[in-house]
Amino acid sequence: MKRRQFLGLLGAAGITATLGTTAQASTKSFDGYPEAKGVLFDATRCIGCRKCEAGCNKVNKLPAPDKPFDDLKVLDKERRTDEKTYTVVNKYQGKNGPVFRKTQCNHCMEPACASVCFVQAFKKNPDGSVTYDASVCVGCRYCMVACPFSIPAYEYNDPLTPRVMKCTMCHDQIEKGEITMPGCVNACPKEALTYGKREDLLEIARARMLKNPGRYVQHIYGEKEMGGTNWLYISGESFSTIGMREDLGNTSVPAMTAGPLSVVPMVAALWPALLGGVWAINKRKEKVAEEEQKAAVKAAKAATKAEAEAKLAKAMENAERDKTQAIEREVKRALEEAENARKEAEAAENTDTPDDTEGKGA
Amino acid sequence: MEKGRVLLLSAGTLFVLAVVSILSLEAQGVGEAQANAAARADVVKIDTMKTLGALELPPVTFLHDKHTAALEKAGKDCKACHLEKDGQLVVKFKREKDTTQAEVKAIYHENCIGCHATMAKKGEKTGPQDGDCRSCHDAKSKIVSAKQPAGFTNALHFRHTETKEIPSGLKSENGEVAKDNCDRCHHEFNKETKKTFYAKGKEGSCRVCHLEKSSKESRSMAEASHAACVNCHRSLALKGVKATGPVQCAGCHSKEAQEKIALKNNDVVAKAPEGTKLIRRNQPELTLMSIEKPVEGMKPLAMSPAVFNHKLHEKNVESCRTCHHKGIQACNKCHTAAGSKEGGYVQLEQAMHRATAKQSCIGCHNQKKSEAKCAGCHDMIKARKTPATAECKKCHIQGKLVVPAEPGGQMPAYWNMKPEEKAAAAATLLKDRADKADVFSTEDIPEKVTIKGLSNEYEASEMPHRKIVMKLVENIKDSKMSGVFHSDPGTLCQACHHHGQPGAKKPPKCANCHGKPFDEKEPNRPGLKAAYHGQCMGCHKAMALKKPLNTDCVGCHKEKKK
Repeated sequence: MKRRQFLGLLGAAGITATLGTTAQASTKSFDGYPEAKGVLFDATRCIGCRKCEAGCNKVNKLPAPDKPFDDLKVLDKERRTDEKTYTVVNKYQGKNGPVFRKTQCNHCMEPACASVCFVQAFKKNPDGSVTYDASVCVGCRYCMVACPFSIPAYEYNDPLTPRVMKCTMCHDQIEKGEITMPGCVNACPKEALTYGKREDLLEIARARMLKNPGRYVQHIYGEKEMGGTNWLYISGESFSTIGMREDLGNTSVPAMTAGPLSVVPMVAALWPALLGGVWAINKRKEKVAEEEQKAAVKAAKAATKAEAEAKLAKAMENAERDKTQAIEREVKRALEEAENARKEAEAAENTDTPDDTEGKGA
Repeated sequence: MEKGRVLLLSAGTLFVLAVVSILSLEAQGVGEAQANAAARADVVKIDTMKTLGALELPPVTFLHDKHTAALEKAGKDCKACHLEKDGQLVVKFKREKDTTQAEVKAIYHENCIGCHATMAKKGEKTGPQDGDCRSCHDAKSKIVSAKQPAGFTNALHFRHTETKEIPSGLKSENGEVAKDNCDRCHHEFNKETKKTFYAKGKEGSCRVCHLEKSSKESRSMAEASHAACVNCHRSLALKGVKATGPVQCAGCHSKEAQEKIALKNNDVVAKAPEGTKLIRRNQPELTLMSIEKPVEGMKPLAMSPAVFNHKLHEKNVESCRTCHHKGIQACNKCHTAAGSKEGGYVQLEQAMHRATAKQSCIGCHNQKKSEAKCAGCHDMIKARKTPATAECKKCHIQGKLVVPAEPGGQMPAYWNMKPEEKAAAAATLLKDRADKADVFSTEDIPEKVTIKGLSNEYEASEMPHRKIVMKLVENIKDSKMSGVFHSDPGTLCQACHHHGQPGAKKPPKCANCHGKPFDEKEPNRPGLKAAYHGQCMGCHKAMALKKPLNTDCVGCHKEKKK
């Protein structure tokens, strides 16, 4: 019974699991918002002047930096974005001299930060930007763990209302109409940053590659990486030379976790009910069987007892009868012996005295 | 406690064993001493046996100069490793031919290890011995080869033909030694008799027959050149001649040695009397480049021949092989108009005009455009796959080949002309071609241009316009080629004043076309700010200017005082 029970549970669980996965393979797919904007960064145009950092700082009203933006010596060390800096430019060594790259949130098409945030503090907007809502954030910093580009920074020094800080593609300011393009794009003197619809940017990037054979690496970084990003990069040097990860693959983080996560509702809700039901039925069956068994045992016991008692009574009766009979027999015998003895005594007496009726005899 | 003692004892034994092995039995890789990442020019990868069968161990990284230096110290010379045949050293190691894998392996092992063993017995520092297989057969050798190909340029060739140390082997009728010593090196190969012989007038590059790999017909270039050159240098050195060539690997193949040789070459060439030809091969000075003789009855639809100044081009290339990459002959012998097998099916049009090929006319001219002097403008001009139609007449001076209207009219048979006729025709045509760079007169070139349309954080930029133009004029002054292509006064302006009417004296303002950035209708046109910065900074970067630096904003426009 136990083995069959186990196999039954396994079968139920497995069938429900397969049912779950077929439901996932739907024919609908979402390729990003059609009007989503993005930014194309051309590493062959960037001269490392840091005007984009200054522009971002001004538009987002960020605090003043430790070293001013026209200090180019900071480029000698590789920096990362932090809670006061949405974007940094880093210097790398290329084949013919230094090359530069601007780092900031890449505004992924399927952002990892939005996927892991369980309070939905991150939102992928139709205009392409990924923005952050500090009012619902609980400060768990899963977003910092999840981001493949290690971009979100945290205000550790703020004890009461710390926020996650990252580039917003100037979403609020553009929506309000204060500016028409992100602060960094506006500030760049070389148009190393191009702002426009993501589809258009891909075409512009390809046109530049076609027009200038041999100038660019034939790859648009961000076209497919991590499911596609809205910040695209083209470069004359290899992307690993300019400090970009080339090991990320083309699957977005939500797509990676969608499989296991899709099983959670089933495991949390369906399995307890279904498997619990199967188990309950089995348990009930067992209980009933047990009760029946108990009853049967009891009945058998009673029957046996009754039988035994009947046997005993009969035996007792027989014994009683035997005993009475034996007693009777003995009595009879004794009587007979007494009779015989008397008869003999009588006979003996008869011979001794003819007629002794007086005196003796009795 | 019993178990603990056993463990301690065994650990102690192992430790002692290890120490003893490392220190006295030398249980360590002897080859580790080679782990210096310094690049060397004498690295020889011994993988001869690859052609004789599959290799069991990785090829050996052999340092030739290191061994010659060590042998020299021991008073030995090349003959310690190289056999002599007919007075010449055989470049192979201790053998004349590669026979079988087993035999070659035995030769290498017995002789290399044998020598090392002998030295070791004497107590000298030597190379790996028996059993240290991986010390020589090191798959992960950290030694980097810095061997530069030893180019034999025309200048170096000149030094060889002019020196008295290499007299000709031929004698004229009256017993005088011939003036030209071509026969000392140049030869042809008779396939029947399997012998080399000298053919006057047919001298060419060794690489026509001696290719990268050895074949049944000829040895590889490496073998042939080492056998010929190093042997000759060595025999001269043995005779006591000081001015002989290098014998060590680094003497020809290291970067430093090549720089020294180049300097000496330039020196010798400069000291030669005016008009000396570096190569005397009866080459023409002026000639016409045309299609080959057309097939009978077919009308040649082509351009008129290109005028070619062979003498000028000779001066501007390092060796004849730059253009005559397969042999000293006219291009159209192999590169026919329709393409032929000898030409690799590369048609004449491609051979002359392919913008990316090193040997084609246009390709070589394009390479000149990437020099710092020229790159400022030419880096920003879109690379063309085919030359602009207006440019054809710069070389094909008469333009299209005109087919005579009347029947029976004679086509000018350029392909049949004798060299003297071609030279004369070329000279006549050259009179019609302007070949001096020209710009507009100084009054027409504005001295300063004030760019103030966008001044916001910075003041207006005062651009020293005339100074820049004059500097460009100076850059193109010396080259006759740039003179031909910039002979039109408006041409030089075209890099900056682009996409307009070429040759206009008053080009339009940049702001006439460049306005707002990121216009969806003009996705590839930068906005005005990027147009200015892209143009100026692009040129400065391509010309590697140190002043003004692209990041030096105030170098071009002063900051606006708030």
